[in-house]
Amino acid sequence: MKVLLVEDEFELAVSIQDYLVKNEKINCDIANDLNKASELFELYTYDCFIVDIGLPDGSGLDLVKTIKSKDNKAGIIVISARNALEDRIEGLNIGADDYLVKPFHLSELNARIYSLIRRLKLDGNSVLELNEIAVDLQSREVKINNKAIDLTKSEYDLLFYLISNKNQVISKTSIAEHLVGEYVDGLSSFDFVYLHMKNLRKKMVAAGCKDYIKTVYGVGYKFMIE
Amino acid sequence: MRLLTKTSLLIITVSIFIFLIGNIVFFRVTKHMIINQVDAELINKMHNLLKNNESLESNLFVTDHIEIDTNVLYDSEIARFSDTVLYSKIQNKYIPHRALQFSKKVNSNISKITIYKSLLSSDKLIEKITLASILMVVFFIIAIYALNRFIFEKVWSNFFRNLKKVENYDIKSSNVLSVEESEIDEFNKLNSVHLKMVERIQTDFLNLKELTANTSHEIQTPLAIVKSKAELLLQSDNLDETELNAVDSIITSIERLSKLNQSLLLITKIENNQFSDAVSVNVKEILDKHLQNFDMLFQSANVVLEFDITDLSIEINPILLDILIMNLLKNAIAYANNKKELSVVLKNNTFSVCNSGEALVFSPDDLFKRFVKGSSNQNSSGLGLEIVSRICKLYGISINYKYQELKHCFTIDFSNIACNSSC
Repeated sequence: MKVLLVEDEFELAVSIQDYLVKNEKINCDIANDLNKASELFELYTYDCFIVDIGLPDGSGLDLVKTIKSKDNKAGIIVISARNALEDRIEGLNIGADDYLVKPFHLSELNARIYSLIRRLKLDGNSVLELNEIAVDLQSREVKINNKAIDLTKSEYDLLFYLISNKNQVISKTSIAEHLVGEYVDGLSSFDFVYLHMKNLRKKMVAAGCKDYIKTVYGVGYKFMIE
Repeated sequence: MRLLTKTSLLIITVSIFIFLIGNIVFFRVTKHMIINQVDAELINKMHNLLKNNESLESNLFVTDHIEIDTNVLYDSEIARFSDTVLYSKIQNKYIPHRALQFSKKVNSNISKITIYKSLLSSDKLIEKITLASILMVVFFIIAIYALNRFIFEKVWSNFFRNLKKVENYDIKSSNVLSVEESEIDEFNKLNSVHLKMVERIQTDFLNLKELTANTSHEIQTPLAIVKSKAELLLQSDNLDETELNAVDSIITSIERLSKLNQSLLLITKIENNQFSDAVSVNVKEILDKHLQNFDMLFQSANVVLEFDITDLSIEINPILLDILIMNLLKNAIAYANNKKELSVVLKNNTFSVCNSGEALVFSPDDLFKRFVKGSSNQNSSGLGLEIVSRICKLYGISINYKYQELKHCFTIDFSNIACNSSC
């Protein structure tokens, strides 16, 4: 799977690349300006583009327009330090699939890429299989050993988040933010994360699934699967 | 006091004072001159009487009255003037007279002669003159007042028109302030000073706006780097529990810093009036959406939610209403105590959110100030209620806080922006 990351902040780009490569065995190229990005875009085919808006030689949104105008089927995620609604709307209107505000959690970016790539690569088969777990991305149905289990919306979101960041430590903060979004700030505790995690675990284990969810004490969780 | 009133009052006071003194002096001088004239006539008569041996009676028509006292023992050479009154039988009253007393030797007899002249006609004259001058003064003052008014309107009209323009000018607008040229140099100078000042304030304002936006924008990037590095560190296999916890604290703190930064940016945007277009919004819809999104938090935190929500349309910027409602709900959840009782009421143009909780440890007056927060919550930015009060101030809606029956209640009165079938 090939991803082009267009980001002028070298350190941030490297972090993202590290995380993606480690996790998903994604092949991630970095372009630090529009020029380089256009060049790479002409030369290779990518499954997904991650584009920063503020680049030294122009706006990343122009690149998004170029990609879209060439009828590219790749997914596009815009990352920006700008949080204004207008920026979001503009980004999505010109064809970006997702918009993420800096500073984001790498696990969140990873989950978005994961979901985007899966969605674009469906080709009739929307079921994601991991050992005894089968997740239907379209109907949001989860089966353990071919037996459907009943998950709430947030439990499904949680499971998908864990799977997309498998074998990585995911912080409680990032899970909380993934589940409740903006509502997370100001909360005095993230007990609800623990509660949902407990319920998800219970349901999966009860259906005969191995307990892949490991607690990293004080920090968060890790979905351990080979 | 208006400029015109002030100047008119000053001019009138000063002219009354000046005319009063002027009239007194004028009265005195006239009187003095008349007396001099009468005295001169009397002296003239006296000489005639002394030299020509005229019969005293023949002089009677010149003077008004003559008294001759022959029974005088000494000869006083000096003639003496005096003021006196004589009773007039014709007019039946005392009439003021000027008298001249002198002595004359007639056949070795010394007789004292006093000649009188009536002052009645000259007193009448003075009276008439005084009356005329008072009338003149009154007329003059009225004329001055009218003239002052006329000149004032001619000279200052330009100034007042410009004043109105400056008064109505919104420094935050992008329009250029235009003032009228005047014939008067001082006014032109004042205009140019005004224009310069406005220009400076506007540049400062724009610079500040840009600075805040840029700073907060620029801060997000390094924060993103630190956060990403910390998250990568979290994946390292050889960290022990303490180290992992330290990394987690770093991530949490960065999160807080970044949220703080975004909140400050939002406050600046509200202050700069960057959320302008108000449209008709149904508060119920937005409130329902938020309550639904909060549901997960309510459930896991065992919050008991009571609500009574009716339809209400108001004219407001939808983004700001969204932030307003979300911040109030967040605040209520964050500070609800163990009882976790929450009530949300939207009724009769008012919206109120109440949560159970301990009494405030600081004054309720400080509640809406920046960075004032209850000690129990580490994650609070201390800006949520400040944002709420800024939004309320922007739309002129009132927000009240009350603590009663162990509950914190915030009540917002939307009545002045409510749509009463008009939008």
